[in-house]
Amino acid sequence: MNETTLLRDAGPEAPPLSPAARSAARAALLEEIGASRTVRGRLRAFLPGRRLPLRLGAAVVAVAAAWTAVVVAPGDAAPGRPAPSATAPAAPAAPGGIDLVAAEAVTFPVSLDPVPEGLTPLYSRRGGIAQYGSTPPFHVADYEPTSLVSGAPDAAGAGATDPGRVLLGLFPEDPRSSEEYGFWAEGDPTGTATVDGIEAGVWREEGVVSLLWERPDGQWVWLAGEGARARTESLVAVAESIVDRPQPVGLQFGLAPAGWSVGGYEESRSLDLVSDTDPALLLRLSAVGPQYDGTIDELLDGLPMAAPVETVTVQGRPGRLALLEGDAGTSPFWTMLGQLPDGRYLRLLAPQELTREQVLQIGEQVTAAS
Amino acid sequence: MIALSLHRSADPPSDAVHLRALPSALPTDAEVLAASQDDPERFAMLFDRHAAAVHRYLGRRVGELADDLLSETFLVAFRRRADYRPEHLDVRPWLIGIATNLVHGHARTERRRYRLLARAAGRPEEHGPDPADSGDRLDAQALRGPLAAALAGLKAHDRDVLLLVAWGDLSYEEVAAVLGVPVGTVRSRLHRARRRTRAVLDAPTLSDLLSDPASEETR
Repeated sequence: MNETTLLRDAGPEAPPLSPAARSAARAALLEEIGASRTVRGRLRAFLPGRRLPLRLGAAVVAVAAAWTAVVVAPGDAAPGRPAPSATAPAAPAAPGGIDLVAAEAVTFPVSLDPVPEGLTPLYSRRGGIAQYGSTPPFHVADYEPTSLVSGAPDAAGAGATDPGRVLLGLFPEDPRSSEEYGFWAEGDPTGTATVDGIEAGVWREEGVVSLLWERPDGQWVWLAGEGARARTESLVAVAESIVDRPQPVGLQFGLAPAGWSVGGYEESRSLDLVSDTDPALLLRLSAVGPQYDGTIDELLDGLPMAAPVETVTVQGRPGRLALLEGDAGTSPFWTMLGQLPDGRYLRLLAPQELTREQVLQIGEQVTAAS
Repeated sequence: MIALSLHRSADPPSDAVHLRALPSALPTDAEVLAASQDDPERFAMLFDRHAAAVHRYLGRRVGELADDLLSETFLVAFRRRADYRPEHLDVRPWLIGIATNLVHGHARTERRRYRLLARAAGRPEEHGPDPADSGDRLDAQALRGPLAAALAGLKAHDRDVLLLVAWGDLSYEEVAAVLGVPVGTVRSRLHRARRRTRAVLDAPTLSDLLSDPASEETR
Protein backbone atom coordinates (compact mmCIF):
# COMPACT_ATOMS: atom_id res chain seq x y z
CA MET A 1 0.00 0.00 0.00
CA ASN A 2 1.57 3.31 -1.00
CA GLU A 3 1.49 6.53 0.98
CA THR A 4 -1.35 8.02 -1.05
CA THR A 5 -3.62 5.07 -0.36
CA LEU A 6 -2.61 5.07 3.29
CA LEU A 7 -3.53 8.71 3.59
CA ARG A 8 -6.93 8.04 2.09
CA ASP A 9 -7.60 5.04 4.33
CA ALA A 10 -5.89 5.98 7.57
CA GLY A 11 -5.25 9.73 7.36
CA PRO A 12 -7.06 12.21 9.56
CA GLU A 13 -10.79 12.16 9.01
CA ALA A 14 -12.82 15.24 8.11
CA PRO A 15 -15.53 16.33 10.49
CA PRO A 16 -18.96 15.92 8.89
CA LEU A 17 -20.47 18.86 7.05
CA SER A 18 -23.43 19.68 9.23
CA PRO A 19 -26.65 20.89 7.66
CA ALA A 20 -26.26 24.11 9.62
CA ALA A 21 -22.74 24.78 8.35
CA ARG A 22 -23.76 23.94 4.81
CA SER A 23 -26.75 26.24 5.00
CA ALA A 24 -24.66 29.04 6.46
CA ALA A 25 -22.06 28.73 3.72
CA ARG A 26 -24.70 28.61 1.03
CA ALA A 27 -26.49 31.61 2.52
CA ALA A 28 -23.23 33.58 2.58
CA LEU A 29 -22.70 32.74 -1.07
CA LEU A 30 -26.22 33.77 -2.00
CA GLU A 31 -25.76 37.03 -0.13
CA GLU A 32 -22.56 37.63 -2.09
CA ILE A 33 -24.32 36.80 -5.32
CA GLY A 34 -27.15 39.17 -4.47
CA ALA A 35 -24.73 41.93 -3.51
CA SER A 36 -22.85 41.50 -6.79
CA ARG A 37 -25.87 42.87 -8.57
CA THR A 38 -25.35 46.21 -6.90
CA VAL A 39 -22.55 48.68 -7.62
CA ARG A 40 -21.63 48.65 -3.95
CA GLY A 41 -21.49 44.89 -3.96
CA ARG A 42 -19.25 44.78 -7.00
CA LEU A 43 -16.89 47.22 -5.31
CA ARG A 44 -16.95 45.26 -2.11
CA ALA A 45 -15.80 42.16 -3.87
CA PHE A 46 -12.52 43.87 -4.68
CA LEU A 47 -11.90 45.35 -1.25
CA PRO A 48 -9.04 43.63 0.52
CA GLY A 49 -9.41 41.97 3.85
CA ARG A 50 -13.07 41.21 3.70
CA ARG A 51 -13.56 37.95 5.45
CA LEU A 52 -16.33 36.06 7.04
CA PRO A 53 -16.40 36.25 10.79
CA LEU A 54 -14.53 33.09 11.66
CA ARG A 55 -15.58 30.73 14.36
CA LEU A 56 -11.95 29.85 14.83
CA GLY A 57 -12.01 31.00 18.42
CA ALA A 58 -14.64 28.49 19.31
CA ALA A 59 -12.81 25.73 17.48
CA VAL A 60 -9.58 26.43 19.31
CA VAL A 61 -11.38 26.44 22.64
CA ALA A 62 -12.92 23.09 21.80
CA VAL A 63 -9.58 21.58 20.90
CA ALA A 64 -7.90 23.05 23.93
CA ALA A 65 -10.58 21.66 26.21
CA ALA A 66 -10.14 18.23 24.74
CA TRP A 67 -6.45 18.37 25.52
CA THR A 68 -6.55 19.88 28.96
CA ALA A 69 -6.24 16.48 30.56
CA VAL A 70 -2.97 15.62 28.91
CA VAL A 71 -1.13 18.91 28.61
CA VAL A 72 1.77 19.16 31.01
CA ALA A 73 2.00 22.69 32.27
CA PRO A 74 5.41 24.21 32.98
CA GLY A 75 4.46 24.15 36.60
CA ASP A 76 4.74 20.38 36.51
CA ALA A 77 8.49 20.79 36.48
CA ALA A 78 10.11 20.41 39.85
CA PRO A 79 11.30 23.92 40.67
CA GLY A 80 12.69 22.94 44.02
CA ARG A 81 14.95 20.24 42.72
CA PRO A 82 18.57 21.10 42.10
CA ALA A 83 19.53 21.14 38.45
CA PRO A 84 21.71 18.10 37.92
CA SER A 85 25.11 18.73 36.53
CA ALA A 86 25.94 17.02 33.27
CA THR A 87 29.60 17.89 33.36
CA ALA A 88 30.84 14.98 35.42
CA PRO A 89 32.90 12.33 33.71
CA ALA A 90 31.03 9.48 32.13
CA ALA A 91 29.49 7.39 34.86
CA PRO A 92 30.52 3.76 34.93
CA ALA A 93 27.79 1.54 33.66
CA ALA A 94 25.89 -0.52 36.14
CA PRO A 95 26.72 -4.22 36.02
CA GLY A 96 25.28 -5.45 32.77
CA GLY A 97 24.59 -1.87 31.72
CA ILE A 98 25.71 0.16 28.73
CA ASP A 99 29.08 1.91 28.57
CA LEU A 100 29.49 5.28 26.90
CA VAL A 101 32.40 5.85 24.58
CA ALA A 102 33.62 8.70 22.38
CA ALA A 103 31.61 8.75 19.15
CA GLU A 104 33.08 8.91 15.68
CA ALA A 105 31.80 11.60 13.35
CA VAL A 106 28.86 10.54 11.21
CA THR A 107 29.43 11.43 7.58
CA PHE A 108 27.66 11.51 4.23
CA PRO A 109 29.85 9.60 1.77
CA VAL A 110 30.20 12.07 -1.12
CA SER A 111 30.20 15.80 -1.75
CA LEU A 112 29.49 18.21 -4.55
CA ASP A 113 32.49 20.44 -5.14
CA PRO A 114 31.58 23.19 -5.55
CA VAL A 115 28.21 23.21 -3.84
CA PRO A 116 25.73 24.67 -6.35
CA GLU A 117 25.28 28.35 -5.68
CA GLY A 118 22.35 29.23 -3.48
CA LEU A 119 21.75 25.64 -2.36
CA THR A 120 22.41 23.86 0.93
CA PRO A 121 22.49 20.06 1.30
CA LEU A 122 20.24 18.11 3.62
CA TYR A 123 21.57 14.61 4.19
CA SER A 124 19.57 11.43 4.65
CA ARG A 125 20.52 7.80 5.12
CA ARG A 126 17.87 5.12 4.83
CA GLY A 127 17.59 1.37 4.57
CA GLY A 128 19.89 -1.14 6.16
CA ILE A 129 17.77 -2.33 9.06
CA ALA A 130 14.14 -3.31 9.26
CA GLN A 131 12.97 -0.04 10.78
CA TYR A 132 14.37 1.88 7.83
CA GLY A 133 13.06 -0.21 4.98
CA SER A 134 13.95 -3.44 3.30
CA THR A 135 16.71 -2.16 1.02
CA PRO A 136 20.43 -2.03 1.75
CA PRO A 137 21.56 1.35 3.13
CA PHE A 138 21.41 4.22 0.67
CA HIS A 139 22.08 7.94 0.87
CA VAL A 140 20.28 11.00 -0.46
CA ALA A 141 21.46 14.61 -0.40
CA ASP A 142 18.72 17.11 -1.11
CA TYR A 143 20.26 20.42 -2.15
CA GLU A 144 17.57 22.96 -1.44
CA PRO A 145 17.53 26.77 -1.54
CA THR A 146 19.58 28.01 1.38
CA SER A 147 16.87 30.44 2.41
CA LEU A 148 14.45 27.54 2.72
CA VAL A 149 16.84 25.44 4.77
CA SER A 150 17.89 28.19 7.15
CA GLY A 151 14.44 29.64 7.52
CA ALA A 152 15.94 33.09 7.01
CA PRO A 153 14.57 35.48 4.40
CA ASP A 154 16.49 35.40 1.17
CA ALA A 155 19.20 38.02 1.48
CA ALA A 156 18.77 38.89 -2.16
CA GLY A 157 15.12 39.67 -1.61
CA ALA A 158 11.90 38.25 -2.90
CA GLY A 159 12.81 39.11 -6.46
CA ALA A 160 15.92 36.95 -6.41
CA THR A 161 16.24 34.16 -8.94
CA ASP A 162 15.04 30.80 -7.72
CA PRO A 163 18.20 28.68 -7.38
CA GLY A 164 16.28 25.50 -8.14
CA ARG A 165 17.03 22.21 -6.44
CA VAL A 166 19.40 19.29 -6.91
CA LEU A 167 18.76 15.80 -5.58
CA LEU A 168 21.72 13.42 -5.30
CA GLY A 169 21.08 9.76 -4.53
CA LEU A 170 23.77 7.13 -3.99
CA PHE A 171 22.56 3.52 -4.11
CA PRO A 172 24.18 0.11 -3.74
CA GLU A 173 22.17 -1.15 -6.72
CA ASP A 174 20.00 0.13 -9.56
CA PRO A 175 17.39 2.28 -7.77
CA ARG A 176 14.77 1.12 -10.23
CA SER A 177 14.90 -2.25 -8.45
CA SER A 178 12.81 -1.10 -5.47
CA GLU A 179 10.17 1.56 -4.96
CA GLU A 180 11.72 2.28 -1.59
CA TYR A 181 14.58 4.02 -3.33
CA GLY A 182 12.08 6.58 -4.57
CA PHE A 183 13.39 6.89 -8.13
CA TRP A 184 10.52 8.64 -9.82
CA ALA A 185 11.40 8.72 -13.50
CA GLU A 186 9.32 6.21 -15.43
CA GLY A 187 9.96 4.16 -18.50
CA ASP A 188 13.06 4.16 -20.60
CA PRO A 189 15.46 7.10 -20.65
CA THR A 190 14.56 9.82 -23.08
CA GLY A 191 18.21 10.30 -23.94
CA THR A 192 21.77 9.77 -22.81
CA ALA A 193 24.63 11.88 -21.55
CA THR A 194 28.23 11.26 -20.60
CA VAL A 195 29.40 11.72 -17.01
CA ASP A 196 33.14 11.29 -16.46
CA GLY A 197 33.24 9.07 -19.54
CA ILE A 198 30.33 6.89 -18.39
CA GLU A 199 27.03 6.79 -20.22
CA ALA A 200 24.13 8.00 -18.11
CA GLY A 201 20.45 7.66 -18.81
CA VAL A 202 18.61 10.97 -19.08
CA TRP A 203 14.95 11.50 -18.28
CA ARG A 204 13.63 14.90 -19.28
CA GLU A 205 10.30 15.98 -17.89
CA GLU A 206 8.71 19.36 -17.66
CA GLY A 207 10.56 21.14 -14.86
CA VAL A 208 12.86 18.24 -13.92
CA VAL A 209 15.78 16.40 -15.49
CA SER A 210 17.19 13.16 -14.06
CA LEU A 211 20.49 11.43 -14.72
CA LEU A 212 21.20 7.84 -13.68
CA TRP A 213 24.46 5.96 -14.06
CA GLU A 214 26.53 3.22 -12.49
CA ARG A 215 29.91 4.16 -11.10
CA PRO A 216 32.96 1.95 -11.61
CA ASP A 217 32.70 0.87 -7.96
CA GLY A 218 29.23 -0.57 -8.61
CA GLN A 219 27.27 2.18 -6.85
CA TRP A 220 24.49 3.89 -8.74
CA VAL A 221 24.03 7.64 -8.80
CA TRP A 222 20.79 9.44 -9.42
CA LEU A 223 21.06 13.17 -9.94
CA ALA A 224 17.93 15.23 -10.49
CA GLY A 225 17.77 18.93 -11.23
CA GLU A 226 14.63 20.94 -10.68
CA GLY A 227 13.65 24.42 -11.80
CA ALA A 228 16.74 26.42 -12.71
CA ARG A 229 18.80 23.21 -12.49
CA ALA A 230 16.64 21.28 -14.95
CA ARG A 231 19.05 21.50 -17.86
CA THR A 232 20.99 18.46 -18.99
CA GLU A 233 24.22 20.31 -19.71
CA SER A 234 24.42 22.04 -16.34
CA LEU A 235 23.32 18.89 -14.55
CA VAL A 236 26.13 16.92 -16.18
CA ALA A 237 28.52 19.56 -14.86
CA VAL A 238 27.08 19.01 -11.39
CA ALA A 239 27.41 15.25 -11.86
CA GLU A 240 31.09 15.63 -12.69
CA SER A 241 31.60 17.69 -9.53
CA ILE A 242 30.78 14.70 -7.30
CA VAL A 243 33.83 13.78 -5.22
CA ASP A 244 34.36 10.91 -2.79
CA ARG A 245 34.91 13.23 0.12
CA PRO A 246 32.76 12.40 3.15
CA GLN A 247 30.94 15.32 4.72
CA PRO A 248 29.98 15.42 8.40
CA VAL A 249 26.22 15.51 8.83
CA GLY A 250 24.77 18.42 10.77
CA LEU A 251 24.07 16.56 14.00
CA GLN A 252 26.75 14.69 15.91
CA PHE A 253 27.08 12.73 19.12
CA GLY A 254 30.17 13.29 21.20
CA LEU A 255 29.42 10.34 23.44
CA ALA A 256 27.56 7.23 22.34
CA PRO A 257 26.73 3.83 23.77
CA ALA A 258 29.45 1.29 23.09
CA GLY A 259 28.43 -1.18 20.41
CA TRP A 260 25.84 1.07 18.79
CA SER A 261 25.92 2.19 15.16
CA VAL A 262 24.26 4.71 12.91
CA GLY A 263 20.73 3.57 12.14
CA GLY A 264 19.92 6.43 9.84
CA TYR A 265 19.52 10.16 9.56
CA GLU A 266 16.88 12.28 7.91
CA GLU A 267 17.42 15.57 6.12
CA SER A 268 20.13 16.63 8.57
CA ARG A 269 17.48 17.08 11.25
CA SER A 270 17.60 13.83 13.12
CA LEU A 271 20.26 11.21 13.73
CA ASP A 272 19.57 7.74 15.05
CA LEU A 273 21.93 5.32 16.71
CA VAL A 274 20.79 1.75 17.25
CA SER A 275 22.19 -1.07 19.27
CA ASP A 276 24.10 -3.60 17.21
CA THR A 277 22.69 -6.42 19.31
CA ASP A 278 19.13 -5.12 19.64
CA PRO A 279 18.10 -2.75 16.83
CA ALA A 280 14.92 -1.95 18.75
CA LEU A 281 17.06 0.09 21.15
CA LEU A 282 17.31 3.53 19.63
CA LEU A 283 18.95 6.81 20.54
CA ARG A 284 17.62 9.72 18.53
CA LEU A 285 19.02 13.23 18.41
CA SER A 286 16.98 15.87 16.64
CA ALA A 287 17.13 19.61 16.18
CA VAL A 288 13.99 21.69 16.13
CA GLY A 289 13.53 23.84 13.05
CA PRO A 290 14.90 27.37 13.16
CA GLN A 291 11.48 28.88 12.69
CA TYR A 292 10.00 27.25 15.74
CA ASP A 293 8.86 30.09 17.96
CA GLY A 294 7.44 28.17 20.90
CA THR A 295 8.95 27.61 24.31
CA ILE A 296 10.96 24.65 25.52
CA ASP A 297 8.03 23.50 27.63
CA GLU A 298 5.68 23.61 24.68
CA LEU A 299 7.83 20.91 23.14
CA LEU A 300 6.52 18.65 25.88
CA ASP A 301 2.89 19.62 25.39
CA GLY A 302 0.58 16.67 25.24
CA LEU A 303 3.23 14.02 25.84
CA PRO A 304 2.27 11.36 28.38
CA MET A 305 4.63 11.64 31.35
CA ALA A 306 5.73 8.69 33.42
CA ALA A 307 7.37 11.00 35.97
CA PRO A 308 7.47 14.73 36.68
CA VAL A 309 9.53 16.87 34.32
CA GLU A 310 12.91 17.91 35.70
CA THR A 311 14.58 21.22 35.02
CA VAL A 312 18.19 20.48 34.17
CA THR A 313 21.21 22.27 32.76
CA VAL A 314 22.40 21.18 29.34
CA GLN A 315 25.49 22.77 27.85
CA GLY A 316 25.14 25.63 30.31
CA ARG A 317 21.58 26.45 29.37
CA PRO A 318 18.22 25.49 30.88
CA GLY A 319 16.91 22.16 29.71
CA ARG A 320 14.29 19.59 30.56
CA LEU A 321 14.49 15.91 31.30
CA ALA A 322 11.40 13.75 31.33
CA LEU A 323 10.49 10.11 31.40
CA LEU A 324 7.71 9.52 28.89
CA GLU A 325 5.23 6.70 28.78
CA GLY A 326 6.13 4.22 26.08
CA ASP A 327 3.79 2.99 23.43
CA ALA A 328 1.49 0.15 24.35
CA GLY A 329 3.57 -2.77 25.57
CA THR A 330 6.84 -0.82 25.63
CA SER A 331 8.83 0.68 28.46
CA PRO A 332 9.00 4.37 29.34
CA PHE A 333 11.84 6.26 27.67
CA TRP A 334 13.82 9.41 28.29
CA THR A 335 13.42 12.67 26.46
CA MET A 336 15.85 15.47 27.10
CA LEU A 337 15.49 18.99 25.75
CA GLY A 338 18.28 21.50 25.51
CA GLN A 339 19.11 24.65 23.62
CA LEU A 340 21.90 25.16 21.14
CA PRO A 341 24.09 28.27 21.08
CA ASP A 342 22.21 29.50 18.00
CA GLY A 343 18.93 29.36 19.90
CA ARG A 344 17.48 26.23 18.36
CA TYR A 345 16.26 23.47 20.60
CA LEU A 346 17.56 19.94 20.50
CA ARG A 347 15.85 16.83 21.68
CA LEU A 348 17.31 13.52 22.72
CA LEU A 349 15.30 10.33 22.98
CA ALA A 350 16.84 7.43 24.80
CA PRO A 351 15.73 4.06 26.12
CA GLN A 352 15.60 3.40 29.84
CA GLU A 353 18.51 1.04 29.40
CA LEU A 354 20.55 4.23 29.66
CA THR A 355 20.65 5.83 33.08
CA ARG A 356 19.47 9.35 33.78
CA GLU A 357 23.08 10.47 34.23
CA GLN A 358 24.13 8.88 30.96
CA VAL A 359 21.35 10.67 29.09
CA LEU A 360 22.54 13.98 30.49
CA GLN A 361 26.14 13.18 29.65
CA ILE A 362 25.23 12.36 26.07
CA GLY A 363 23.18 15.54 25.81
CA GLU A 364 26.08 17.57 27.12
CA GLN A 365 28.24 16.59 24.17
CA VAL A 366 25.92 16.62 21.19
CA THR A 367 26.51 19.26 18.54
CA ALA A 368 24.48 20.69 15.67
CA ALA A 369 25.79 22.75 12.79
CA SER A 370 24.00 26.05 12.26
CA MET B 1 -34.59 -18.87 -37.31
CA ILE B 2 -35.23 -18.95 -33.63
CA ALA B 3 -31.70 -17.93 -32.90
CA LEU B 4 -31.98 -15.01 -35.30
CA SER B 5 -35.18 -13.89 -33.65
CA LEU B 6 -33.63 -14.00 -30.19
CA HIS B 7 -30.67 -12.08 -31.41
CA ARG B 8 -32.85 -9.37 -32.80
CA SER B 9 -34.87 -9.16 -29.61
CA ALA B 10 -31.64 -8.54 -27.72
CA ASP B 11 -30.92 -5.39 -29.64
CA PRO B 12 -30.92 -2.23 -27.55
CA PRO B 13 -34.35 -0.67 -27.30
CA SER B 14 -34.88 2.26 -29.56
CA ASP B 15 -35.18 4.73 -26.70
CA ALA B 16 -31.71 3.91 -25.35
CA VAL B 17 -30.40 7.00 -27.12
CA HIS B 18 -32.73 9.16 -25.09
CA LEU B 19 -31.68 7.49 -21.85
CA ARG B 20 -28.05 8.13 -22.61
CA ALA B 21 -28.85 11.68 -23.46
CA LEU B 22 -30.36 12.45 -20.08
CA PRO B 23 -27.19 13.03 -18.07
CA SER B 24 -25.74 15.32 -20.70
CA ALA B 25 -28.89 17.38 -20.52
CA LEU B 26 -27.49 18.81 -17.33
CA PRO B 27 -25.09 21.68 -17.91
CA THR B 28 -21.47 20.93 -17.20
CA ASP B 29 -19.64 22.74 -14.44
CA ALA B 30 -17.88 24.89 -16.98
CA GLU B 31 -21.18 25.77 -18.62
CA VAL B 32 -22.69 26.68 -15.27
CA LEU B 33 -19.74 28.84 -14.44
CA ALA B 34 -19.84 30.52 -17.82
CA ALA B 35 -23.55 31.17 -17.45
CA SER B 36 -22.97 32.68 -14.01
CA GLN B 37 -21.05 35.54 -15.60
CA ASP B 38 -24.33 37.02 -16.77
CA ASP B 39 -26.64 35.21 -14.38
CA PRO B 40 -24.79 35.07 -11.03
CA GLU B 41 -27.49 33.00 -9.32
CA ARG B 42 -26.43 30.06 -11.47
CA PHE B 43 -23.22 29.89 -9.47
CA ALA B 44 -25.09 28.40 -6.51
CA MET B 45 -25.41 25.19 -8.51
CA LEU B 46 -21.64 24.72 -8.23
CA PHE B 47 -21.94 24.96 -4.48
CA ASP B 48 -24.62 22.29 -4.50
CA ARG B 49 -22.46 20.03 -6.61
CA HIS B 50 -19.12 20.43 -4.90
CA ALA B 51 -19.59 21.72 -1.36
CA ALA B 52 -19.37 18.26 0.17
CA ALA B 53 -16.15 17.35 -1.66
CA VAL B 54 -14.49 20.68 -0.90
CA HIS B 55 -15.51 20.46 2.75
CA ARG B 56 -14.21 16.91 3.02
CA TYR B 57 -10.84 17.99 1.63
CA LEU B 58 -10.69 21.00 3.93
CA GLY B 59 -11.89 19.03 6.92
CA ARG B 60 -9.10 16.51 6.63
CA ARG B 61 -6.59 19.36 6.58
CA VAL B 62 -7.94 21.84 9.12
CA GLY B 63 -10.70 20.05 11.01
CA GLU B 64 -13.57 22.19 12.26
CA LEU B 65 -12.17 25.26 10.53
CA ALA B 66 -13.38 23.66 7.32
CA ASP B 67 -16.83 25.14 7.88
CA ASP B 68 -15.47 28.66 7.57
CA LEU B 69 -13.04 27.89 4.78
CA LEU B 70 -15.75 26.16 2.77
CA SER B 71 -17.70 29.37 2.79
CA GLU B 72 -14.64 31.42 1.92
CA THR B 73 -13.72 29.07 -0.91
CA PHE B 74 -16.99 29.63 -2.70
CA LEU B 75 -16.96 33.38 -2.05
CA VAL B 76 -13.48 33.63 -3.55
CA ALA B 77 -14.46 31.38 -6.45
CA PHE B 78 -17.53 33.48 -7.17
CA ARG B 79 -15.53 36.70 -7.17
CA ARG B 80 -12.88 35.21 -9.43
CA ARG B 81 -15.18 33.34 -11.76
CA ALA B 82 -14.25 35.64 -14.62
CA ASP B 83 -10.66 34.39 -14.32
CA TYR B 84 -11.62 30.75 -14.70
CA ARG B 85 -10.25 29.08 -17.84
CA PRO B 86 -11.95 25.78 -18.61
CA GLU B 87 -9.23 24.77 -21.03
CA HIS B 88 -6.75 24.70 -18.13
CA LEU B 89 -8.68 23.04 -15.37
CA ASP B 90 -12.02 21.51 -14.47
CA VAL B 91 -14.11 23.35 -11.92
CA ARG B 92 -13.71 20.86 -9.07
CA PRO B 93 -9.89 20.99 -9.01
CA TRP B 94 -10.10 24.75 -9.45
CA LEU B 95 -12.21 24.93 -6.28
CA ILE B 96 -9.85 22.57 -4.46
CA GLY B 97 -7.00 24.84 -5.49
CA ILE B 98 -8.73 27.87 -4.02
CA ALA B 99 -9.37 25.91 -0.84
CA THR B 100 -5.69 24.98 -0.71
CA ASN B 101 -4.65 28.61 -0.91
CA LEU B 102 -6.97 29.42 1.95
CA VAL B 103 -5.46 26.63 4.03
CA HIS B 104 -2.09 28.35 3.63
CA GLY B 105 -3.40 31.20 5.73
CA HIS B 106 -4.01 28.75 8.55
CA ALA B 107 -0.83 26.72 8.31
CA ARG B 108 -0.23 26.73 12.03
CA THR B 109 -3.74 25.47 12.66
CA GLU B 110 -3.17 22.67 10.19
CA ARG B 111 0.14 21.58 11.68
CA ARG B 112 -1.23 21.80 15.20
CA ARG B 113 -4.12 19.59 14.21
CA TYR B 114 -1.77 16.92 12.87
CA ARG B 115 0.41 17.09 15.98
CA LEU B 116 -2.56 16.74 18.27
CA LEU B 117 -3.88 13.83 16.26
CA ALA B 118 -0.48 12.16 16.39
CA ARG B 119 -0.29 12.54 20.13
CA ALA B 120 -3.85 11.44 20.64
CA ALA B 121 -3.12 8.30 18.68
CA GLY B 122 -0.10 7.71 20.89
CA ARG B 123 -2.16 7.56 24.06
CA PRO B 124 -3.35 4.19 25.29
CA GLU B 125 -6.91 3.35 24.30
CA GLU B 126 -9.43 3.49 27.11
CA HIS B 127 -10.88 0.27 25.87
CA GLY B 128 -9.13 -2.62 24.25
CA PRO B 129 -9.57 -3.28 20.57
CA ASP B 130 -12.91 -4.64 19.53
CA PRO B 131 -12.47 -8.26 18.50
CA ALA B 132 -14.98 -7.61 15.76
CA ASP B 133 -12.63 -5.10 14.15
CA SER B 134 -10.98 -6.44 11.07
CA GLY B 135 -7.23 -6.65 10.78
CA ASP B 136 -7.21 -3.97 8.11
CA ARG B 137 -9.14 -1.63 10.35
CA LEU B 138 -6.75 -2.18 13.22
CA ASP B 139 -3.81 -1.66 10.90
CA ALA B 140 -5.32 1.61 9.72
CA GLN B 141 -5.89 2.73 13.29
CA ALA B 142 -2.30 1.96 14.16
CA LEU B 143 -1.15 4.18 11.32
CA ARG B 144 -3.29 7.19 12.14
CA GLY B 145 -0.78 8.65 14.57
CA PRO B 146 2.29 8.11 12.39
CA LEU B 147 0.50 9.52 9.37
CA ALA B 148 -0.56 12.63 11.24
CA ALA B 149 2.98 13.06 12.56
CA ALA B 150 4.33 12.68 9.05
CA LEU B 151 1.97 15.34 7.70
CA ALA B 152 2.99 17.74 10.46
CA GLY B 153 6.59 17.33 9.44
CA LEU B 154 6.25 17.93 5.72
CA LYS B 155 7.18 21.19 4.13
CA ALA B 156 4.15 23.14 3.11
CA HIS B 157 4.60 22.83 -0.65
CA ASP B 158 5.37 19.13 -0.41
CA ARG B 159 2.32 18.57 1.77
CA ASP B 160 0.15 20.46 -0.70
CA VAL B 161 1.13 18.16 -3.53
CA LEU B 162 0.67 15.01 -1.49
CA LEU B 163 -2.73 16.01 -0.15
CA LEU B 164 -4.03 17.39 -3.43
CA VAL B 165 -3.35 13.96 -4.89
CA ALA B 166 -4.46 11.88 -1.90
CA TRP B 167 -7.43 13.85 -0.60
CA GLY B 168 -8.25 16.16 -3.48
CA ASP B 169 -8.11 13.33 -6.03
CA LEU B 170 -6.32 15.62 -8.45
CA SER B 171 -4.11 14.29 -11.24
CA TYR B 172 -0.50 15.41 -11.46
CA GLU B 173 -1.45 17.73 -14.30
CA GLU B 174 -4.26 19.25 -12.25
CA VAL B 175 -1.96 19.73 -9.26
CA ALA B 176 0.53 21.45 -11.54
CA ALA B 177 -2.17 23.78 -12.84
CA VAL B 178 -3.50 24.52 -9.36
CA LEU B 179 -0.08 25.30 -7.91
CA GLY B 180 1.30 26.97 -11.02
CA VAL B 181 4.36 24.69 -11.25
CA PRO B 182 5.54 22.25 -13.92
CA VAL B 183 4.38 18.64 -13.76
CA GLY B 184 7.96 17.56 -13.14
CA THR B 185 8.04 19.71 -10.03
CA VAL B 186 4.86 18.04 -8.85
CA ARG B 187 6.48 14.66 -9.27
CA SER B 188 9.65 15.65 -7.44
CA ARG B 189 7.72 17.23 -4.58
CA LEU B 190 5.54 14.16 -4.38
CA HIS B 191 8.64 12.01 -4.29
CA ARG B 192 10.04 14.00 -1.40
CA ALA B 193 6.74 14.01 0.48
CA ARG B 194 6.37 10.26 0.06
CA ARG B 195 9.94 9.62 1.10
CA ARG B 196 9.57 11.64 4.24
CA THR B 197 6.21 10.11 5.00
CA ARG B 198 7.68 6.66 4.56
CA ALA B 199 10.58 7.59 6.82
CA VAL B 200 8.17 8.48 9.60
CA LEU B 201 6.02 5.41 9.05
CA ASP B 202 9.12 3.26 9.31
CA ALA B 203 10.14 4.80 12.64
CA PRO B 204 10.48 2.23 15.39
CA THR B 205 7.78 3.53 17.70
CA LEU B 206 5.11 6.12 17.73
CA SER B 207 6.86 7.83 20.59
CA ASP B 208 9.75 8.58 18.29
CA LEU B 209 7.42 10.38 15.97
CA LEU B 210 6.45 12.80 18.65
CA SER B 211 9.97 14.13 18.66
CA ASP B 212 10.13 14.64 14.92
CA PRO B 213 11.73 18.06 14.70
CA ALA B 214 9.94 18.85 11.50
CA SER B 215 6.67 18.82 13.35
CA GLU B 216 7.78 21.93 15.19
CA GLU B 217 8.73 23.86 12.12
CA THR B 218 6.61 26.67 10.90
CA ARG B 219 7.40 26.77 7.25
